[in-house]
Amino acid sequence: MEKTLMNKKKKINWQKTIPVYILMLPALLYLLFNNYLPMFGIVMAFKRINLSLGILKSPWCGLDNFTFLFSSGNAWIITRNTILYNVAFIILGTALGIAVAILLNEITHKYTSRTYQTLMLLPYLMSWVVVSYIVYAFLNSSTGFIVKSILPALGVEATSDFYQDPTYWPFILIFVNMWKTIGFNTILYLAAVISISPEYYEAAKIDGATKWQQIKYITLPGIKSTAITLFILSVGRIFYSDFGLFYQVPKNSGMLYNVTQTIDTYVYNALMTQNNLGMASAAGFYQSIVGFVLVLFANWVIRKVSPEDALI
Amino acid sequence: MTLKKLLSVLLVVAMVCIMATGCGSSGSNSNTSNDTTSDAAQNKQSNENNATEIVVTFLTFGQTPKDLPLVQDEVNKITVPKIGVKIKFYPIPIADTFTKYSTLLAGKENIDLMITAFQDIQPFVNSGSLMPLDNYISENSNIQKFIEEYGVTDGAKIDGKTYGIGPTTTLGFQGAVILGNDYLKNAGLTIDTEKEYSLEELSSIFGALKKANPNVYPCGALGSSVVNGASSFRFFHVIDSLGANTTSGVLMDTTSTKIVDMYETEEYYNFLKAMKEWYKAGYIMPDAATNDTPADTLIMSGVLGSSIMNNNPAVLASLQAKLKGGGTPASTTPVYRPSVSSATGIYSTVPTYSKKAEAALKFLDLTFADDSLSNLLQWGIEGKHYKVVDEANGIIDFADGLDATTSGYYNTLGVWGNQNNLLTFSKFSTKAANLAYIEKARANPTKAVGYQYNSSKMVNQLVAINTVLNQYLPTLETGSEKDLDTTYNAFIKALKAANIDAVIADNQAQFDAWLANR
Repeated sequence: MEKTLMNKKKKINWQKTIPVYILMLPALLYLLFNNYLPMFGIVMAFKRINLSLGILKSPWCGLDNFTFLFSSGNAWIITRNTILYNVAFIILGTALGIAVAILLNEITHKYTSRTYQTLMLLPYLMSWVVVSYIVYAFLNSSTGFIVKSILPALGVEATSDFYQDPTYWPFILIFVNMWKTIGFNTILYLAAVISISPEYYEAAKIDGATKWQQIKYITLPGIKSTAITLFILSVGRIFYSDFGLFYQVPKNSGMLYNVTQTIDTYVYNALMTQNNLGMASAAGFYQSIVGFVLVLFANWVIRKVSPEDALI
Repeated sequence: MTLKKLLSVLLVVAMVCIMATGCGSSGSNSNTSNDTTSDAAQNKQSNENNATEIVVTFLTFGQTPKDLPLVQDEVNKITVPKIGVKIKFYPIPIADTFTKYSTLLAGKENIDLMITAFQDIQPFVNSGSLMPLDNYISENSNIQKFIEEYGVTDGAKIDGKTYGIGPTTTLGFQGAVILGNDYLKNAGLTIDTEKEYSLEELSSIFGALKKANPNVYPCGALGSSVVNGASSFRFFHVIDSLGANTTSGVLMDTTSTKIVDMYETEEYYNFLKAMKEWYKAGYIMPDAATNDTPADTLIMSGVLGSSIMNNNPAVLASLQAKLKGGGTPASTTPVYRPSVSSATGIYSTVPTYSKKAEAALKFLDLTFADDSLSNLLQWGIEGKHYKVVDEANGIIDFADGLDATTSGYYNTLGVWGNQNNLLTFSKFSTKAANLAYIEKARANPTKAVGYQYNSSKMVNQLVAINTVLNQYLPTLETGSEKDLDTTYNAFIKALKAANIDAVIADNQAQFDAWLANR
């Protein structure tokens, strides 16, 4: 408190600060043009766009553009899929990321640790199209690795066509996503784990703490803020889905829609042939509003539970 | 000191300014005013300066032909003296047109003649992106003549206004399974091209083909070819989708005026049952529903033994080079003329903001009248890209030393002018063959020739129906579902939920009004 008061009393030296502000100007302008100016496009969601009249003069149409999201009876399925998959990704991604980061930190041999880290990061750098063909090589009904090699080796008679049978897809999608993203999650948490001062561990060892106790009482509390920040960020994106994962990996197979279709793929499939700017903006608007509300909500919950970790 | 500070501030401001201008348009017209010495060149120069330059989209299959600039020059040699219009091509891959045209239009890209292919132009019209062309089509123009004879604007008329002009087509439609000759020979089968084959007869043909060619899937059904409501049932039954697609109801024979939901009919169910049988029997690829390899690749590599297609001369000609040993059509329907004759769905349109619609239409008009221009656009320069081998029938071949891969101008789409008069590579699509087919089509029209459904009131329902079709059709129409009845019932229920009945009622009301007015 005292400090802030002192700062306020201080007269700002404009002569000194103006050049600094001007240096900041390009970045500020970029932010303005790239992130704030396009927000004006939100009006398109409420208009029947007529390009010959221009965006501003096009007639208003209320919530008409939003109805397609809800008119087919699919709204429940796509909302459920989007949210449940994201919840699974957040929980598993956080848990696995932290677990692997702690394990990696325990490897003392530097090169071994680096090798594991690199190998785990490799899938993260692949495009979803490539990943979808790797998955296809496993699941293909006539030549796939699982049908041809793994199941016969286990003595299981299988003729299942994975791309027509929705049963296994929740597992497949979560597995594939974890495989792809775990390397990146691990790096984020590993950075936090490494930054914990080794003195704590030394002290704990002297006091006779076991490895498990060290993790429980030093490592986990040490990376709590990082985990919470990442958690809030991912909650904000809970209404968005990874288009590549849900479109490319199931090869857009109609029979799997009940478990694979999310808001993004639904909008893509619905509007591919429509070229309707209004409806597309409506879908984007819907996602960002819900995302914004969820961020505020998650932050509110965290402020109740652990105020010092809340973002705002 | 302060001077130094001021300088640094100025420097930063200057840098920002430079950055800002860097983003701005650098499109100041680079007027090519070459120094010319001779009078003739100067004349030409002034001629070119008087000519109106229009930008015309040039659809490609992905790669821009390398001799396009040469062809552009040749085109201008015809158009500048004749109509005072200079063409500049704007090459764009056809696959990109589906997604990019809306952004190009929204961004007011400099295009005066935009060619759409296999794409519904109604959304563009709804968004006010396209200009009505009626004022530019004069009574005695070539376009008007072709509108009367070939209905080249059918399918592009919305609320009584014309928004696009297509190339002439062969008017008709005939469903067929075009079978590879080599496979037929192995099985000792002959196909009667005049006969109409039923599903049972096709079953036995596929059976014989599979037996004789065990490594080939004789039925070329693919999930990737039935996307966006383009059901393949139209290749097995007379279907007039009334200038829209099957989502808004169809007429199912040439005498009917009752619009029905094709998917609910017994005929459609029987078709699905046949597909299921063929899938089980191994006539259809096991992963036909999801395989995304292009059909042409699968046919050319001998995986698929047939192509399920509209059996018109152009299609038949193009398949000759793809199917092993050429192809023979086993027709499933007679040749008939559906409501919208531009079965290709190709239209030349003009963006609302274009200031040169008149010049664009002049150019279009000339493509219909001047066969040397349309041949040039289609096949390139005679002697350089092609040579005439059969003058009487208008059959051509690649110029010496060239083939499909080395020619600098090949594989262009048939989007220009009078397609029926063009030179051709194949004896299947000569002028005579085209005219014979047109004769047949004219003799067997549906009750809706000239009618087109205006779906602007049903946009939300159509989006929902389209989603349902995208979900179920690729699986059902390749027979790959686990259990036909469960999937089919779920499909029909989903269509009802998406309110297909309301769309069909709307269509029927418009159709009745049209019939009464005629």
